[in-house]
Amino acid sequence: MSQPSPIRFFRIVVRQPGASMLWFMGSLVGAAIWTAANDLDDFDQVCLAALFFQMFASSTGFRDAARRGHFDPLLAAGTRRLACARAHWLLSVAPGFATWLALGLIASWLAPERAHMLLSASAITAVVYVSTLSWMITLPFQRYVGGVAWLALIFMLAAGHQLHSLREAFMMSSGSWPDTVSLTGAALVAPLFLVANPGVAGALPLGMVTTVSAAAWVVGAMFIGRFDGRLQDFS
Amino acid sequence: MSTQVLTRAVSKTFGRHHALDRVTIAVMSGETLGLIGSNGAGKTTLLRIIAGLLRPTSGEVVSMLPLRPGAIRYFGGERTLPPHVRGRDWHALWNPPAAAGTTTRKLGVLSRGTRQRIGLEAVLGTDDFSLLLLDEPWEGLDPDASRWLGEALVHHRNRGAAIIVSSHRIHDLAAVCDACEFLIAGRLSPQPFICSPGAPLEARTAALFDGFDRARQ
Repeated sequence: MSQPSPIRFFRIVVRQPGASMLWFMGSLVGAAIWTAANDLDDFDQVCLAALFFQMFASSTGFRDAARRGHFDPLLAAGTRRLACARAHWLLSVAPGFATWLALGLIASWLAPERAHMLLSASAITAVVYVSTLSWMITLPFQRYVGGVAWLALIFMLAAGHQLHSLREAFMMSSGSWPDTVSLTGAALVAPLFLVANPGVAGALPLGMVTTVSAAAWVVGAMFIGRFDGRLQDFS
Repeated sequence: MSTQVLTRAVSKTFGRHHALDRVTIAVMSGETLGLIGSNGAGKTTLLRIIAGLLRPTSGEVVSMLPLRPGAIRYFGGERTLPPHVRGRDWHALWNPPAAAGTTTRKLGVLSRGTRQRIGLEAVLGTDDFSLLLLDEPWEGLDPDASRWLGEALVHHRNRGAAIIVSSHRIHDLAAVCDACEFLIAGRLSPQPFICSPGAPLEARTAALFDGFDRARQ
């Protein structure tokens, strides 16, 4: 016997809820094919739905399961925590990435003029950022908390008419330093702007968003690396 | 026999609760050490610190184990198994050839004893670990499974693994342990109890009960 790799372990133990996940992925792919073939104007909505899907899919959580002892055999076996963090992130973001790439391929095939919404640097930056931040936010909580929190924030902004202001800040950037910061801030709060308007953000804002993604990954890896949770009291 | 793991004045506090207070124990290769204590005495906390799952508040764990994944095996009991995972999948993670005969039902719907057996089989099924840590391993097991567990522990001790087992079941511990430590409210009794190797099981059990009663006074 060999010690299972963290990837193999988490593939079994952090498995996404199979049926519902497949249903969502299938629905998105079906909607992408339908809109690309029949109603191209609605294709943007499918892309945004895929981004929201990723907010939830990558919100897998760590602390709750770790405190129940589900990860004990892996963590006690001497596997490096950094390898555990890498594997946990990878398996958490994989379903959303796979769906995103599938939609990108569909768009390239059926609606090439819309493919940039999924495969541009701006779109890829957005999906990496959404995946990593949702993953990181959810690590200390139960599954889906990151997705719920992010969705609640966007609804609150929309209800308070702030989403429109953010969109203006994103769209009206003149390239000056304060405008670039505003644009980046808007993209960080509502990354759907990066998908819906893939040509607006230049290299600098995209680099800043990528830096925030990397920082979120490091914070998440540190959380897993330093996790010292007392076993939940089962009594 | 060589020392495999040594805890040196290990203490652990959770908020205001002192779970462990300057605990020093050592376990050698080819030795089975029993940990006996009441509920809340700190047995699980000590095992989890040795396993690297918890950091001690003070003190240290000195390990002479080979630095390779899989050198330490820890099983915290059936309650720590992920309920949504199928028995066969869990078994296959650790011992793929033996997984074929295991149930395909999810661990959460199995009986407590079956879950415990699957968890133990996954941990004990191969000979490639140097330190084994088991927390209440006899809980929920039927007589056949208890006998199997005892034989497996003797097998791994004889091949040179160091073993630490915590349990309330003094009769079972007396059958497999070379020595026992009594943990009373987070503190160890001054002297470990050495199980007489040649004595009949009943005499060992009675002596162990005696030792525990004395340690609590």
